[in-house]
Amino acid sequence: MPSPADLELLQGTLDMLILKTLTWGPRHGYAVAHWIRETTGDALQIEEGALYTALHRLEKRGLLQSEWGVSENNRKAKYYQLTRKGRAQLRDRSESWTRYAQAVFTILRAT
Amino acid sequence: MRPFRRLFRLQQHPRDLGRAVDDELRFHLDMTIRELVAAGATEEAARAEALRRFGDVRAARDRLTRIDRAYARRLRAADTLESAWQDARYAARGLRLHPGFAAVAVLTLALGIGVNATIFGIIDQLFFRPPAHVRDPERIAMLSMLQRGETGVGQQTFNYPVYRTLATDLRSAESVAIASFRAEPLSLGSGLQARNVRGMLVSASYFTMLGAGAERGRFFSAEEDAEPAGVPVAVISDGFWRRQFGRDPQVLGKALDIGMQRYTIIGIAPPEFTGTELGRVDVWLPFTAAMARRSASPSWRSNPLPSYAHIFVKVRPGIPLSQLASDVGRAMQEHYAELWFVSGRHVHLTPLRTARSVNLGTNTTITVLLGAMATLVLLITCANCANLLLARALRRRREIAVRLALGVSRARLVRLLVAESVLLALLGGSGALLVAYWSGTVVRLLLFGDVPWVRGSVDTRVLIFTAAAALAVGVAAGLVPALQTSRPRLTDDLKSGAREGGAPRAATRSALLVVQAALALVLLAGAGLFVRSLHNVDALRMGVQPERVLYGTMDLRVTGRSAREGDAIFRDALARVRALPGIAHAAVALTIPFGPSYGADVHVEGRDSLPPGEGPFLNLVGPDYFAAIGARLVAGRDFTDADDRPESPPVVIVSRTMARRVWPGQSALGRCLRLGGAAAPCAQVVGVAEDVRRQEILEDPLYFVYVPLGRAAPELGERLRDRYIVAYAAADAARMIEPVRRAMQTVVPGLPYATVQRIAEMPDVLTQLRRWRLGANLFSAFGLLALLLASVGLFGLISYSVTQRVHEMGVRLTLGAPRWSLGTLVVGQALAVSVLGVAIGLAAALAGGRIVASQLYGVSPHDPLVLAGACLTLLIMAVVASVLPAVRAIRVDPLVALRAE
Repeated sequence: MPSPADLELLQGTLDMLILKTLTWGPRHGYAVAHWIRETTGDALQIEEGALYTALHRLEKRGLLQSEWGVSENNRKAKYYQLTRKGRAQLRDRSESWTRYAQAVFTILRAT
Repeated sequence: MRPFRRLFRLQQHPRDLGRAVDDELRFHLDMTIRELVAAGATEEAARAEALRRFGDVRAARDRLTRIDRAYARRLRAADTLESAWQDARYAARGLRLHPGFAAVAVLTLALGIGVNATIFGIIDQLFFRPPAHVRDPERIAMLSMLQRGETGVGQQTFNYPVYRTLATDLRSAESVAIASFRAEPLSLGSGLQARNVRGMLVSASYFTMLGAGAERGRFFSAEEDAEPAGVPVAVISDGFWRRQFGRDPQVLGKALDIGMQRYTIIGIAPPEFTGTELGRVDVWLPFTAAMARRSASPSWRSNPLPSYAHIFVKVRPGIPLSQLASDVGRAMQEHYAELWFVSGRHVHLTPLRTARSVNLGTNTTITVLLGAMATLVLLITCANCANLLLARALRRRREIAVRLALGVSRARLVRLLVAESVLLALLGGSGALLVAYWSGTVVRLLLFGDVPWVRGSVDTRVLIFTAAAALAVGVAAGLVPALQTSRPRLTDDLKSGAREGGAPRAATRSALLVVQAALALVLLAGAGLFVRSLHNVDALRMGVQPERVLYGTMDLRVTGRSAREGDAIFRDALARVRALPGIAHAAVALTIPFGPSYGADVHVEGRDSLPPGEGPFLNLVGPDYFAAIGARLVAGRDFTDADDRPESPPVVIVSRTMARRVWPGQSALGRCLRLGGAAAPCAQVVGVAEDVRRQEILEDPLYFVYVPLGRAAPELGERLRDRYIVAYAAADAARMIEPVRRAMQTVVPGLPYATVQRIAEMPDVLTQLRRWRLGANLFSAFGLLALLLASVGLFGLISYSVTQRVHEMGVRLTLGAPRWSLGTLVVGQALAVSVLGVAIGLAAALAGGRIVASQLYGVSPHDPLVLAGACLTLLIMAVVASVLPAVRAIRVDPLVALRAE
């Protein structure tokens, strides 16, 4: 279990990761979780419950929209896709996030 | 694989939201398990691992449902807004496509709601709106003394000593105040620059009672309003400050010359403050300061007989008004039991709100009538609009049927149709504001010309009223047709063209028209009754011709001149007025009809007392007085210059009623009257004048004695100093006002303002005539409006039904019916509807007649002529409205009509 401080850090990061994941097209929640797990190589311990909370919250904020579709194995699944607002948010945030990460990285190296 | 594009945003039930979350989570867990099993785990272990990775499923489920619910709520709100906007746009397009229909509907609404807003504006300002800047108005009341069985306000004016007594003697009163009985004309400045301002003489307690504070400076203090003569200070109104001083910030401390006395301005009242008055007030003066400066003797401080001022009382918090009333009654009995306005009377306290409109000559009945009339017009408007909308909905029923067949919900359709009528109502409401502004201005000018309105005819409250009325009418008028047409017989409507009307709907329309006709008849009957009353009143011989007679007066006491000097000035003024072209007769008198009145002590030679009758009243008049007021002498002669000198032998003229009752069956001429005691010298009756009104337009003839002014004046000294000039205009009296004023004003330099008016413009006359004028004018206007609306509605219905029956008429013609019979058919239909309406309206008018009976004069509320006239007018309207459709019916070509099928 991540500590509360880690969760806070995670919140913004998780949103970013989800938005990024969806830039390649609509996916259902399982696919998003799967992709994050694969790419980060288990470096980020993300509880899947939190992931779904983030998905729904992003939809409520208008950054994602969802609809029911049919999955690869012919099951009813809820698909998420980026809205125009979500795309803009991702562009915005990834720039500032990169700058932030750069700064942290520089400081850590300086010691 | 790409999922479906979303076509509809389907409304989701909260329960469905929870199920959707379950589905989503189940899918996720199943997929994880599948993946783990594929990687070699047992089913059991895979499930455990999947749950571990997910965390607390139940908590997540709750969280997600909560988020989705909030989201769904927001979507729904946005949807509602969006569809409302869509409805509005759709409705606007519908109206643009039918400009004729839209114009008639909007015009109907604008007129109907507009007159309502006008009436509301007037009633609101006269009766509903609480006085501005007054704290606890419900605890303030005006004192009056009522005789047993008397209704209304009774004796409502008192004097300074009574006020002093009550101010010191009432335990249940928080404060007691005295004030002029209405804003009185006070002369400001002198000579040709002199003008009238509206002033109130009030005690210092007046302002504390009302709880108002000065906008600038202060209101006067008890010391400035103390006996014997106070301090000459003045408080001016915000409006007067603007008009007279251009909002000069340095105005405090400036001098104001009122009635030839110098007052210092010490305060400015807050905007719209009018105190206990309903209308404009320019200046408030300390009661004692003003009385001391205008009175020759200090008797005003001690004489409890005269009646010239209102007394207001404010009850202590928590004590009922009734207790204060009995307290006042006790004080009056204790100190003034024998006075004429106390003995045999009881105390009545009129609440401030009602007291303010007492001087207006309108009463509760008139107000109720006005409100009822306005409501009738509003109902007619509603009916008319419902009818128009219904007709329109019928024309569109194929379109509606198509929509329903396509699956548009009934609720949505009703909303669309109501949206259209609400849009119409809003347009109509905007028009109504224009109507309210114009008609409000006109009504105020024509019927309340003497009320100095403080506010414009359209204010926030009228605005709110108009908006509310417009919406109410819009929904009411739109709902009936919407509900009716959204329940169509689908197959019939889809199949048929313009023809089959559907009997129930036609019945609804006819019923609405019957109601309209009935209401219109009631209004027309009311108009007839009041017009006849006004006619009867106008035709009354009052002994004075109010429209033709000018009067002029000025208060010379304030200039410090003696009675003798004053008389000299009036003599010169009379000579100048007589010399004016356009003046046929002129005279000087002590008083005039509807002016102040004086009692006389009259002894008749050979009788102990006069036979019962009102009076005798006294007037001192110069030669030519009767001709100057337009009264006839029925016997004998007028006073001549020879009677009008101090040394002339005493002569009198008496009123016809007095002559008849005192000397029944005999001539009054040459008889002897003794004025002022049995020992007074004998004055010979030289003439008998027709009866002249004293105070009331409707009053019993009185005993009146006229004495030559020039002969009586020297004996009277400083007593009975009032003087009036009366002048009979040869032609347009209104145009002679300015010349007469100029002539009086310039006799000598430095005179106070000369009030010159027609008798008809005296406040008392105006207020007495008001109820008939109001009734006649407003009932007529509303009746015509109702007639117009009803005829438009009838025309619409009949022409529509001709369209419906073209086929039937074609058949009739083919079967050999003469063409004219088709016209009869159409007119007959219009008459059938109207006759029914007339019958119902007649019953209503007969029943309602009792309510107006007390407001009428010389005409029965069931006057057959009036009722027959109203019925006939409506029937003629029905025929006129059906002429065009009838002509169309007569011109029907049977071939075309039959082929149209």
